[in-house]
Amino acid sequence: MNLNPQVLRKLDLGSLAQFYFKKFNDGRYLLTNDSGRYCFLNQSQFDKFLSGKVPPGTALFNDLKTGGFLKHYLDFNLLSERWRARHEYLWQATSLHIVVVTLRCNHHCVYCQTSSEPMDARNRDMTPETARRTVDRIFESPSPAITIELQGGEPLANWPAVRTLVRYAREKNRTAKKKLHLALVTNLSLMDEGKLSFLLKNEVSLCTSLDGPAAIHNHNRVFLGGSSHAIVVRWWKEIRRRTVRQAFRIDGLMTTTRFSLAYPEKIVDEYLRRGAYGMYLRLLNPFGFAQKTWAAIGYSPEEYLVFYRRAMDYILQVNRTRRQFFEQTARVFLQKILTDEDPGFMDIRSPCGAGIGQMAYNYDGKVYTCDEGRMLAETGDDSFRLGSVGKTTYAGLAQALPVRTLAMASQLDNQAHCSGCVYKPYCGICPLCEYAQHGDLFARPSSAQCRIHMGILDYLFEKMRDAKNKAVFAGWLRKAGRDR
Amino acid sequence: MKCSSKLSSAGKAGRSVRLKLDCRLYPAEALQAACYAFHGRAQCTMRMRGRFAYIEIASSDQGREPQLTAQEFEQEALHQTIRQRVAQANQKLREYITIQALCACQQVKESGSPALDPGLEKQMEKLFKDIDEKGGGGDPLGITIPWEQKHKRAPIGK
Repeated sequence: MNLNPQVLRKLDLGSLAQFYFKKFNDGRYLLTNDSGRYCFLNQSQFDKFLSGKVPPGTALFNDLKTGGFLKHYLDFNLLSERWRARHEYLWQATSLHIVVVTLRCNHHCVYCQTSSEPMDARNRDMTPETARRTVDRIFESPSPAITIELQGGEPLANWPAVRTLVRYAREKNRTAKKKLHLALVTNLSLMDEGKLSFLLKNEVSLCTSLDGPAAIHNHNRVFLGGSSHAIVVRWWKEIRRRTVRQAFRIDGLMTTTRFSLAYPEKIVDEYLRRGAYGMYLRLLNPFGFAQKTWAAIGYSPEEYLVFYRRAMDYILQVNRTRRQFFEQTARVFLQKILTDEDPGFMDIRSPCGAGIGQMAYNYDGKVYTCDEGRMLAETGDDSFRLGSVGKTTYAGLAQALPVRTLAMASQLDNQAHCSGCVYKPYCGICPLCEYAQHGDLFARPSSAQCRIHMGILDYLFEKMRDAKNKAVFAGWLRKAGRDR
Repeated sequence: MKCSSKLSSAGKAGRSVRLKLDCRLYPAEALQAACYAFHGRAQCTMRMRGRFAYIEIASSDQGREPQLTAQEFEQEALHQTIRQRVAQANQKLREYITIQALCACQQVKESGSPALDPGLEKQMEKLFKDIDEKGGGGDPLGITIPWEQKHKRAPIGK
């Protein structure tokens, strides 16, 4: 049954607070609002709600009242507080700093998004002097919490820069006393005892790609020096053994290619075998090498969503029968749905984190709004460059035109389709993904990220209709918000 | 007010559909939003004549019945109309809540009082005036001031 156009005549705009809605396939309507509250209504309830005829005192009336869907019962102080809490990042300066210490890499991954270069490439390493200047710029950020994420290429291919950055950041922080988190994203193939000891002594978290069992991982991540998977597993075990009960540890990062699509359960099992707390079913981004190989390794949003739903069904089963285990994208959305705290995920917030939440520093000292901006520069488009560590102050970087442009372009209220979307309170877009695919910064209903975000959120809301699933999801959140 | 639609065989394979919609019921802006929502699924052409909008929809899915596409579009137009009317009716309230959160200003004392009473209107006008006068730009929170300068510390470790 559909809505009758006559409903427009009966619309009681005096009683309806701002809300967003969508009709699900089972005929129920999902309602959300700017505070992130949500409820499901059937057709009859929705008709009554629109015409202001929900009888006071009923359970439905009370749900709508406490959820902030009825205009006459709004608590403006509370709503402002919630708005502020849900957009806490607007009061913070740039906290995530991605440093690419080299473009050289010894792997030939089919999806490489970083435009890495062979190990014998010249002039693709960050010098120790540039590394120190980079740390100087990073510490100029007034943010009390700083994360420095060292990436490549393969960052261990430029060990002098890694060592300089880690030492110098720790040294500066003795005076600055910020909450400093250091992380290294590595394929582990160049790891040795000396490097590991140094990294662990300096409390550097490690993150490595793990695409699934050996057959899947080695298919995606080609390494001529042996089995990439065997190397990852060997060091993973060693690092886990030495970081028990530490705040820093090793995490895995999985990238989904066309080849992965058939094996969601096997990929989840691999992470369970490694003792991981959860995993990130990351989709392929249209940057770097992946742009060229898309025909062979890419997939449609719908194909990815079939994979995602299968993996999530399996993860839910694991949670119910074996142990707690989360999926990262789902957890980001769930934190926004079930609490008033923002999870601090740069790509899923409004505005996105480009420049205002994160910056990317290339090996040559050039600074970009984000890693995507840097990746575009590697393919010849320098539009999202903010300056360079040797010449531009942090204030200059933060006020550069691309920062303001991307903040405006990723503000969901400015997007024709997003501004009325039922998932607006929880969603966010990456304007550079749009730019890479369509040549402009704006999200459109047909774009891959929109369809995927909507598909994942559809799944989560469908599953939360079952209280057992909702309890599992709530358990994934470290700090559960107030019960809704 | 009446919403009317009819099928036509204007498309190449006779799979397109033409709708005639009354703009007194569905504002043109809502119809544009409905067309945009079909982006990627269908090609929509909209022409205005008097108080009617003529919309031709050619679905990308050749197997889809034109009547289904028409029904789906009319529902989308209805949803978009509700969204726009609700958004317009709540615009000032949303702006008030957002500005209060952004400015951390003096909060409304009478919690639970009816929306948009004269006192509330006055406060909102004052807030809008403040924003207009101060320009809404600049850097009032000092987000772009280097840490060392903000805390008056000497450069570290050089």
